[in-house]
Amino acid sequence: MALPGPPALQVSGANCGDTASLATPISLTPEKPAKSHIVSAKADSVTPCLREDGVPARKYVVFALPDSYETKLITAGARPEIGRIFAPDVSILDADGKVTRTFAWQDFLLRGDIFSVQFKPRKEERYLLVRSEPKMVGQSFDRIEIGVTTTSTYAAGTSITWNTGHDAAVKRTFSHEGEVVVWVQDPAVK
Amino acid sequence: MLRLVAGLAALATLSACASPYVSTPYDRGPANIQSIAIMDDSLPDNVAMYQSASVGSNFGLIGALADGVAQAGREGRLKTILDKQSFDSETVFEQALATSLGAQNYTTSSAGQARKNRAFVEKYPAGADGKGAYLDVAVINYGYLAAGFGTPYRPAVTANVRLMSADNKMLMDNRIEYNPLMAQQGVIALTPNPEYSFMNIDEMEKAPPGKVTEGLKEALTVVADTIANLLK
Repeated sequence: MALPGPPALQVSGANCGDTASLATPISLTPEKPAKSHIVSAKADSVTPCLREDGVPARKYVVFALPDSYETKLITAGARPEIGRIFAPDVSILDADGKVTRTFAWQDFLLRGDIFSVQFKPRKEERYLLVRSEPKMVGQSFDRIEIGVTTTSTYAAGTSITWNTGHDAAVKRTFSHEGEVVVWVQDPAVK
Repeated sequence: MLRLVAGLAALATLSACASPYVSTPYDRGPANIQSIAIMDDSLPDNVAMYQSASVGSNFGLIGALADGVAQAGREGRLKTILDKQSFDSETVFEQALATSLGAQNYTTSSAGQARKNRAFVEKYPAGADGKGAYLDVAVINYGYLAAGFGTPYRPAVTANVRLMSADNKMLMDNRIEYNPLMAQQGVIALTPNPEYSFMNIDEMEKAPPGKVTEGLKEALTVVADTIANLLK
């Protein structure tokens, strides 16, 4: 598995469009109904970029919201990687590409391992636009991460399991590139 | 005490492989809630001081029993530290909640009575009108948590929260963990302030007066702010 690159602190702006293309969104509809469906996309050097008025160039990914929206819960944002995390800015669009909802930076929380906002789609909503947030790129995403590691060994005919705790300060930087993640949950599916 | 040790150990073990948590996000526009009654008795009676992967945890029942005794000893000494500072965790938390909700333009009041366990209230009191709701925060445990032997104790809080309308409809449901041991997918995971860490109860007792309670106060306040932000 390739290691992620360093944090991307700038987007060159060359070949950037001024509006996000909705032509080939990544589908969030699973092949068959599923309680949980995670879609991730790499924002990297070849990911399309946007150059909007007054905003530095940034990367973006477009997703198509699930076909049937009524029971869905969407968690959208970024997954931390080694040394970096994509700086997510999430907007929801209608069929015409008009913004129906946006989220403030303060709305983003780490849920499990996804730095995200959460919402239930509405009838008129069709797309999820995730852009990198230039104001946050370069800022720190520092955390204390604790956990328990279990190791098993086999000696003298006996299996031994040993639990040890770990506690580490982990530093990451918000980046224009990284892993964009959308998690679709459907509690109606048994 | 052994039940608490076993329960917390089971929780830590199971959370990594449990089904993802499904929350209910709040939609303020349609709900149009303007006043919130904060249900009382949010916090457990006793503060915890728990070491997850202790040495004893690797030695079956005998180890668990020894751990239980050690934990009870630590918690008694931690309680003494809090009592010396006249630290009332419940009041600190509920006041922080009221302040944070006020900043989101809600009027608040308190309601309810003591809970039998750390579950949500079974029956909400009458009285809230159509524009009111009940905020039910059930803190499962709070205190200081260390991942294992040789790692520091840091403040920790685990809280389930829900907002119920006057006609008993669930408007919001979430779970928040401050300093989570193994954050379950979907659960809000808040990182602890690295300023508040202690290697053991001896270090806590020798710390500058107020340092230990400051750590707890910050944890409870951050959880309260997070809850209010979920209701923005």
